[in-house]
This record gives sequence, C-alpha cells and structure tokens, in this order.
Amino acid sequence: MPNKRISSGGIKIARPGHDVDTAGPGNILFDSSFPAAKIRYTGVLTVGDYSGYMDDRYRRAIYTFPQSFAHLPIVFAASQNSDGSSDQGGFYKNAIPLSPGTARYLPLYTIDIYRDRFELYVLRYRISSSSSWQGLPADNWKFWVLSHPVA
Amino acid sequence: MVKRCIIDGSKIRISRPGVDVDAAGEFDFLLHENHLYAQPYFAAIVSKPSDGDTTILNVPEVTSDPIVLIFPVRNGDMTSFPFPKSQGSGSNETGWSGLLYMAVNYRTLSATQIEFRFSTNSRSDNVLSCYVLLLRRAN
Repeated sequence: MPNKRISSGGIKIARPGHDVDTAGPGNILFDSSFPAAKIRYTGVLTVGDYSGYMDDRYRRAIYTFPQSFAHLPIVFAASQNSDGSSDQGGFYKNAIPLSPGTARYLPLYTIDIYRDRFELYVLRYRISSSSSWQGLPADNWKFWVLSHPVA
Repeated sequence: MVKRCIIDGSKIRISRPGVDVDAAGEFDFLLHENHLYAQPYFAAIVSKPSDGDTTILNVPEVTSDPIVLIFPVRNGDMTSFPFPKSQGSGSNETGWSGLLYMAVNYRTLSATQIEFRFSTNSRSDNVLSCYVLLLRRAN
C-alpha cells in the first residue's frame, strides 16, 4: 500500500498508513495537481514619514516589484518589535466622534496592493493602552509577496 | 554541486538551494514526504448582491474545512489587507464622506459551498467586494 506516487503526472503523497490512490483529500500531505503559493519576494521595510492621505496618522514604506504581476499578488507583513514580538493581526480602531468632525477607521497596519508595488502603512501609535501593548509600532516590518496562485 | 534531492522508496525530499538535503533542518525543505502543505485550490471575487447581504460561493469539493483568506477589493487594480484605512468628514446625522467601511463574515455550509455575509454602514462608503483564496487543509 504505497503512500507516495511519482509519475509523469506529478507527485502525490498521502499520510503514512494511507493508500495514495484511495486516500481522501484530508489525508493528502502534498498533491502537485494543486498550485503552490510561491513566495516571489521577501525582505524588511522601514516605515517613515510621507506626505499624502492620512499622513498624520500613519507612516509608510513602498516596495516596487522588480517585475509587475499580471494578477494582483498576495502580500503579508509582520512587525519586528524590539522585544522579539510581532504584530500581524488586523485589529483596528473605529474613531467616530459624537459631534461633527472627522471619523476614522484605523487598522494597526494596512497594505495597499497593486500590480507593480505595495504600500505598507503603519499607525503612528498603539491602539490599546493595555500594559502589554505599550510603545510605538515597530519601524521595521518583514514582508512576503506571493504570486497569485490560482490565476 | 550540493545534493538537494532524495527520491527513494521511503523519501521524497527537496531542500532549499544551497542546502545539502542530507543535512537539511526542519525549515530547509521545499518538499518533504512527512510535511503537510496548505496548498491553495480556489480563488474568486465575491461581491455583495444588490438585493441582500448574503451570497453563496460554490467551490470545488476538496475539503470541508478550508483555510479562507479574505482581501478587501478597493477596485479592480487594488486590494487592501487586512482592512483599508480611511477617514471622512461629517457627522452621525449627515454621514461621513470618504469613510470606508468593510465587514464580511463567512461560514462553510458544505465542502462545496461557503456563505458570505456583508455588513454595511449607511453613514459611510462601503467596500462591497473581496478577493477570496481557499487553501487545502488536511485532517
């Protein structure tokens, strides 16, 4: 009962103890008939001041892709905090005033993704006053750019 | 040249470029016969229907419990992840011009159907579409 098969059609691997030819999708570890989310670019960006939309609330870094994508890519980012922790979640604050003025939706960070670049915006201050969330958001953010896997 | 590939009766392994496959560590493999790969298998743009808040996406039958990634679509040439930032002037009575609201929930109905529910805010602009990517999840 083989749990692996390599043929001209590709590579398929089932969990140990499962027959690769009869195993259900939940027991397949790898199947080359599915695409791969390939990481095209990765690195670290440092956010800084800029002039433009919401520049009083955010700092920004721009990464221009060496080669533009035919389809919008997928981009993830994670902060590199000085204490070794990392902000990755999408927590955000609704800042809606009770009286006339300016209302804001403020994610801790947001990535505007285009075919030729992405722009990383990081809030200038912490959203929570909890003692475990003190300090400013990090300057340096690691990023991963994945090509559109199912185009 | 560094040896990077093993294919025999019990092993299918490919290491990173420059790493000897026989000496590779846990995170040095591009492919390993014992590792689980969360491979993407479906992508689509999902939009709020004009006549309601809920829409059902039909997907291939691969797993009953996919990993679902959602990217708000600002327009055809831009997405914002995880949420767009925005601001707008106005009031709760008149609305907030330029404020961009985005809220979408989903639940898996079956291995072939995922339901998306869009929430909108009448006092702001709304993001009404999202790019959805499904990743295969093994048991």
